[in-house]
Amino acid sequence: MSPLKKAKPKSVPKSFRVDESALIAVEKEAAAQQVSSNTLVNQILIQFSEFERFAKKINTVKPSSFVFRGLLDSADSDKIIELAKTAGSSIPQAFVTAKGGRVDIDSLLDHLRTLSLYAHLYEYSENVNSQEQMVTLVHDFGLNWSIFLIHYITAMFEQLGVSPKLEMSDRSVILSLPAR
Amino acid sequence: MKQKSEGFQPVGNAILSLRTLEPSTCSRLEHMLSKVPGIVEVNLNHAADVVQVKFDPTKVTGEGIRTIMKKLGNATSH
Repeated sequence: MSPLKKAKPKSVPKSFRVDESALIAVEKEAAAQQVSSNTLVNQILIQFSEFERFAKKINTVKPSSFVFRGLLDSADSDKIIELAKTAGSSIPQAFVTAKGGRVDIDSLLDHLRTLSLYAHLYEYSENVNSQEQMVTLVHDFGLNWSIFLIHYITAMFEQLGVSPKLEMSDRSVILSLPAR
Repeated sequence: MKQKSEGFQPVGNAILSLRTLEPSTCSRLEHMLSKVPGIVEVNLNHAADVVQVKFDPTKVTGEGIRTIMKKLGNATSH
């Protein structure tokens, strides 16, 4: 099978009793998004299984993007760097260990994907070719967020003795790792 | 640097936000993106408000897909 194509995950039938108010909310949202309630419920459960249950272990909170950006803009860059180094050397390891039981390059890259998918901290794109794996993170949170990400990612990989090549602007961070 | 075999096929993945798009655009997005040359798979995640795209990076880039989505969003809002 082509590396671009991946087998669909197996689905299984299962029935649950749920609060009526929750069901009404899901059906209303599914209708608004023009998808089936089954699809939406499955995606909600995947989000719980892939992210929420591990995020609560690291005491995750969810401020609005307006508040998040405002906090970043008002912070001193040196403090941002200090925080990023501390967070990057502990949080990703705790998250991926809880999720998959191992800390390696693939699990840390998966952590970066997960933060895009479920926490909206940036948009994620990656190109993998025979020479390198290049990951681009694009965001609207300003220069301090790029500074945070650069130092968070550096500290995250430092634990494995890996030093990705990093570049940044006020709205993006690009990291490159040699092909493995 | 380790070199992969000659048959290695480049792979691209993107996770892009749906938050700037109208629901009516989102419902057409899967169909519209899947017609773009180089895009291999499109999965809308309504719970997470993102679209996950698998693509051939020799034909299209993550930035290119982002630009297409931006244009779709602009076209809908006008």
